Amino acid sequence: MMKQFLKLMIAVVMLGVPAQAQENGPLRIEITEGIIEPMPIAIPGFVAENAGAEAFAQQLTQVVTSDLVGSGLFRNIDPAAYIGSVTNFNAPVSFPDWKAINAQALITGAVSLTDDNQMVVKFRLFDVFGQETLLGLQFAASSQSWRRMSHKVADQVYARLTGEDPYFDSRVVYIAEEGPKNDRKKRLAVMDYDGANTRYLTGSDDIVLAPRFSPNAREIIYTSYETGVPQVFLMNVDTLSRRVLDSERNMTFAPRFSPDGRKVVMSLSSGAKSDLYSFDIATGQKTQLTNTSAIDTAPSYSPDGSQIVFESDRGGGQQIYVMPANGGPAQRISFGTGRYGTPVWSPRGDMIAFTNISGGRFHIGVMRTDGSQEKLLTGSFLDEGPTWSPNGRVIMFFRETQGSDGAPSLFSVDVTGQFLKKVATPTFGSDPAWSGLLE
Amino acid sequence: METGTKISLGAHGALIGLAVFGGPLFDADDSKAIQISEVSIISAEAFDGLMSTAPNPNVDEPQQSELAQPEPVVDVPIETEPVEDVVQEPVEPEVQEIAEPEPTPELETTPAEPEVPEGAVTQEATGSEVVAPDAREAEVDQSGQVDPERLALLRPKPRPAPRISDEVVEKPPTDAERSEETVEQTQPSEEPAEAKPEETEEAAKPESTTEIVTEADDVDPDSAAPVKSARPKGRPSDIVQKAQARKAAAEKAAADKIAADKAAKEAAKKAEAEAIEAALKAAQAEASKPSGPPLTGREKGALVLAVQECWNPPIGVQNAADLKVTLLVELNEQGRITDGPTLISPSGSPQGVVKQAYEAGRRALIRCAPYSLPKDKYEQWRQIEVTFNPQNMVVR
Repeated sequence: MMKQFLKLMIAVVMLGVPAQAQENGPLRIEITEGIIEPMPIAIPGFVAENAGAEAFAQQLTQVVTSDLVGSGLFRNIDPAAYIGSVTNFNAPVSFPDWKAINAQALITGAVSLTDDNQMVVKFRLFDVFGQETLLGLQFAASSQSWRRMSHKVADQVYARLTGEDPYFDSRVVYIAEEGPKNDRKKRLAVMDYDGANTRYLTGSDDIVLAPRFSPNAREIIYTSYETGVPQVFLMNVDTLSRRVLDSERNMTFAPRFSPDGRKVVMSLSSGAKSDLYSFDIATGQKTQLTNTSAIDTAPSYSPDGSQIVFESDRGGGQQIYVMPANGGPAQRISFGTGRYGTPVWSPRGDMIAFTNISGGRFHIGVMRTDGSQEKLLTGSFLDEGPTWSPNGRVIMFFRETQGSDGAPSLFSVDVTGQFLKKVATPTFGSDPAWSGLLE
Repeated sequence: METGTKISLGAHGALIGLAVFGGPLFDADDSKAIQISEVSIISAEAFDGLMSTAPNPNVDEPQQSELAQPEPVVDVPIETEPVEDVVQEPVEPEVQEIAEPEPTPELETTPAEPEVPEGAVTQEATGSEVVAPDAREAEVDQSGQVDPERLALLRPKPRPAPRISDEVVEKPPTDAERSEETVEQTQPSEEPAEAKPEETEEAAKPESTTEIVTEADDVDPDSAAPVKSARPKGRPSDIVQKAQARKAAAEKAAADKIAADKAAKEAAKKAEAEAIEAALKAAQAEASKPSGPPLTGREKGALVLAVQECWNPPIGVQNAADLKVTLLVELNEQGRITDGPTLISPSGSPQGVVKQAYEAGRRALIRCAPYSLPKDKYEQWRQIEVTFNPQNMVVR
């Protein structure tokens, strides 16, 4: 009996042998290098669930695709390569069909119209290789808002796949320019972030400059020569009513809203110098923030409203400084080659975008808020006026071409500098300012 | 003609005559020959129990549950805004979450599930309805007076046979016979062999059901069915010879019993030895799976290269440099993923951007499988812990 017991024990011990091969645990490896490439995704045409929705379904698909591909983070797989198809929104998804064409994500959608011209958009996002549903949402609104619904679909997909905040459902206010260079007509214009739906807010009688959205995108502040001198105006986007912000009619320019929308910081020129002031919109009370003999301008609040970054030549050259929002000692943060101007604090708070002039060229660049990790993203004859997307991942600016017929156009570039593209506008465009994400 | 022949002829003639004309003389009572059982009504459940071997009509019923039910589109109040004169403000779209869809994840090895036409969802199932059998009226006069002719036609109800019990019966003793051959002691085979499960006879048929038990209990004690029959008498023979035969049979039975006990012991011993041998073989088979030495740096490097070719890290997210995730996968000898990838670090359900980092790592591991690794070192790479560290990848 003992003998048999011993045999059994030997068997048990031998059974334990394989485990000893990985007695130190699994094989461990670390991956520190990868491939930086747009994620291939498949966006089959949205299904029209009733008559009349076909055109909308097609347009929605196009806008969603354009948004995602336009971010530079996704690549749309040519529908000609599709093995599977989506003709029924609720039909089960055959993952192998999409895996075979290396679609890492799949977006299916459906559009239906109600009798009162309301539109319902449904969509689902699938992780093809993980074989799971990542997202499923539906939107309902007037069919007139189909573009906004498209942007919202794209926003949801973007946020879910990247982990970042979205930015497609947003607007840009800019200066629309027309005519020859020596007689350029300028108007205030608002468009969707992608250049669609441009609407003009002012006529072309007066020169307008540097418009900025309020945080809720209901108001715009801008500089106008309407009174003969540059002055900052506050315009209600809904009613188009406007007023001069500084009741004392000083020469004011380069305004920007505080994050809470209650104040505006801007430059006030007095003689050969200009200082920074903050204006309380409700009371009109102004507070002087800087007092030097230099030109302090282009102020921008940090997202928490505690600091202001601005440009100044107080050190001899045009550089970027940071100071407390209520004034106080300013600290220079730009120390690279050339001159620095038009700093804008990122909505995420981690970076500052700027214009750099060096080597006879203009550059759009970014740096940490302490001035470290400076990186130039673009370079041309004239790049200027950076503005951040609501999620702080994309910068829009304007680029002016050289020569007597040179004209400005709007461009966007992501913070990696790898994806630069022109924003299509009906006219020339300059001085863009991005709104926050629409509510 | 001799006397013997005459007697024989006479006797045979009498026998034939008796056979031909003896019927009326020995006419049997038919009414006694036919055993009548009362017809009783059984319940539908009992009937179903009897018909339990019939194919289940539910088997072919369409499985509607596999199809995604259409999502009900909820009427939502639409928030409208006044139409603008200059700037047309679009209506604020309302967001609703769509219920979790029901995609059918399919394995690579299985063919893609054909798309089911929408109409099939509402298609009525045909031919699958289970119809309960009609309960028939008892063909027995309620007065208790049974027509003898009808009784003769009715089949007697058989005596309820001892039905299969729910109780598990112990395994009967092994019928072992004395072996004339000497069995050599078994030796472990040099070659690994797969351990086969020992075949065992079933002590009782596994078809014991509640219905059958119920029916067995429902025995009519007044049934006319025969309970037992008398043992037929044997022909008279020589008692002495019979006694000697009995004695010899008893001795033989005793000897057989001793032999059977011995054989049973030997068989039990043999079975035990076989079990140990099977366990040893199984252990040898497991041990024979190639473990080999640890992977060389070159082999490990090749694996790293294979994974990183498919890794598209989430470099854009804030603090991506800190997004280090570790996933665990289990591979088979062909390098295909059999389990995972599972997030093991950070622990818990992935939240926020960790989710994207985990999903990026998972995509990379799945996309690049199968992995080409030395099969003779399988145990070294059966489980792999992969850490994805985008620290050097972050582009600002």
